[in-house]
Amino acid sequence: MTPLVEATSISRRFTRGLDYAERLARFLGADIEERVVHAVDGVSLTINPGEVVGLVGESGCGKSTLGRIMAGILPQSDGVMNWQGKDMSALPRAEAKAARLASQMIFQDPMSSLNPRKTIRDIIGEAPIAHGMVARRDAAEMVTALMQRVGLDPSYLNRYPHQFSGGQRQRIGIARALAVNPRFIICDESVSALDVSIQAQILNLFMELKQELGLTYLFISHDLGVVKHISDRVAIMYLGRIVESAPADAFFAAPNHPYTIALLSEVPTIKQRKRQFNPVKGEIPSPLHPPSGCHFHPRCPHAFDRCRIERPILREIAAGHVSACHLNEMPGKAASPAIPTTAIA
Amino acid sequence: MTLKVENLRTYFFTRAGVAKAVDGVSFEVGRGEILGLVGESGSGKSITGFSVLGLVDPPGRVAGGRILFHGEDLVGRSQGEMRTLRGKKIAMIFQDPMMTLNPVLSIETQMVETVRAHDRVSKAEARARAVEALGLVGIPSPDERLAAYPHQFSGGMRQRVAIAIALLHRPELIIADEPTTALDVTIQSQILAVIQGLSRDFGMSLIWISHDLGVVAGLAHRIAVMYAGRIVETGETDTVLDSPVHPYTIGLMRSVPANLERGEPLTPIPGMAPPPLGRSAGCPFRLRCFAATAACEIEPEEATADGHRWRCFHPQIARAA
Repeated sequence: MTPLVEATSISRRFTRGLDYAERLARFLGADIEERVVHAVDGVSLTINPGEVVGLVGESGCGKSTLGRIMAGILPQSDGVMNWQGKDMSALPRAEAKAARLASQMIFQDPMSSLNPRKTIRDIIGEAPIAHGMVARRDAAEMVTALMQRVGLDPSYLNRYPHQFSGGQRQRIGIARALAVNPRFIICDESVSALDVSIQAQILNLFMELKQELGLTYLFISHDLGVVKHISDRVAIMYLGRIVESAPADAFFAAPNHPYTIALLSEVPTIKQRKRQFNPVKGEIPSPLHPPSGCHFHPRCPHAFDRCRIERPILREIAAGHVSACHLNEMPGKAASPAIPTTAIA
Repeated sequence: MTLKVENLRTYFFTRAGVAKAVDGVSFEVGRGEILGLVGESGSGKSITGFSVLGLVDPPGRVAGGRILFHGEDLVGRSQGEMRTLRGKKIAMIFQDPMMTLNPVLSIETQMVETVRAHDRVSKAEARARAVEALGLVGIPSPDERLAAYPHQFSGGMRQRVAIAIALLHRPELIIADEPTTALDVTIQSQILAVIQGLSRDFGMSLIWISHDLGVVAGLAHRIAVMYAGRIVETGETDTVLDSPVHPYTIGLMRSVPANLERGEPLTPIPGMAPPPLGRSAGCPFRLRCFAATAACEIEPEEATADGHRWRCFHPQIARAA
């Protein structure tokens, strides 16, 4: 099967250049460097048609940047993005446009991603009209159908975003993404801002749409509970790198990377009562100055000398299950959950 | 009993009508006890916390009920009297530490000011107490970090500073309003560990306001679930979570994916919470409830069994057993 989207060794750097005063100071001998953030650092991720891939990480790990690159709205600094087996940068214009149109994003905060001065009719109908997918006079009919599809009352056609609740606004964002008949949807923390009862409604809508329209999702979230529920495969990012990736069942049954294990054991669930919180130590390091070797070594309970020097590569530890940890090369040493399989698994 | 709230009603008198944000809430918190106050946005959980501290701004005010702190009613106290309590006996931690901390003052200035607001001590002694408090919440090299400004801290560290400020006077009661909601999982866990240790070591009582049943389950001794300004179910943590009887509590638990096995379908609560101005008579949950009948058009009275209390005509007792 040809993967729908395939990222190979993708990197993305953000550079803050020097201003005039800083350049002058450097000319005069001051020790000033351009500041470079490696938001995404040599990441490969394959997404097959019909698959739901959950991308999990804490703030600043680069998961949103990777999502934007995979959606084709942010160029990568290095690496190759393939769409249905073809290099996106080498596609003829018309095909590249079609590929971009087939990848749509749904954002976290619908209030900042919906234009407050446009009506729902315009927000949802604008893109299909612009791309010649529907005639302007037929747009209202199409928008009505989409609104019904995502569970909005079509009589609200001429309302503005502020007239809706948070959950309804997220439905508008979903209808807008669906309006151009995408195949690939990138959900960037799309349910994080919603109340739990509304979050469950939206998650169920995502799953229904996947069934009906044969969609493929990249589901970006910091919430392992949500990802566990929706994903076929899970990838964990830490400071710009994927540290573990596996089919969801294997992932939650036998997590391998010490960071993954820490994350899983710290997700609060109602099954753990009056527990002793025993958190992983230390802060998430700044992506401006990531630690050497394995990025997780300053917080890792198992770290040894090699972890400080050498970057571990992703190795296959079971079918389809890869993990970047030096412990896996030392028989009998691989990390395993301290508490017998965590409550969330 | 450190705090006893009886039939608290906090209303907002707006031009469009009276919004009953908190409508007849009663609960108690004992010494060293942690109460988890759970609800979705608009349920009135934060306003309940603000009411205890006398922080409700006009057009809102406490329209009825009693707030007994060591048996003395706080309702109707002047702002001056409340100021001697706030920060000294009762402290609050907010969701966003950037809102609590003044961005243009160093941590030292803010902490020394807080100490000297209640105690007549020298600046040097106030500073020493600030260093001690920062150490307690796990800020590395507190002596040096005292000179830093809020923007020089990460989100988790800022929240630790906010907790340290709340701790300066060893309050008997801390009201924490979603203090870990904005933090990453591993950092949230660190903050929870700090809070849990402090509550245990100093016998501090805590009201932990959160939308996250998981966090509350791990922390609280007792849970109160709020919906549309009322506590709909309350009891010991284990009782409420193992045998919930109110359909809203059950719905909430079935909506959180982390609580379910993989592949188990989510059963969301249909519809959405009623706006505070548009609440109809009767049980506020009845329009979203799977068990609602004609009986629910009258507001249910509180029922109770072994310290487990609920407001529902159709408690799901058989289902829970």
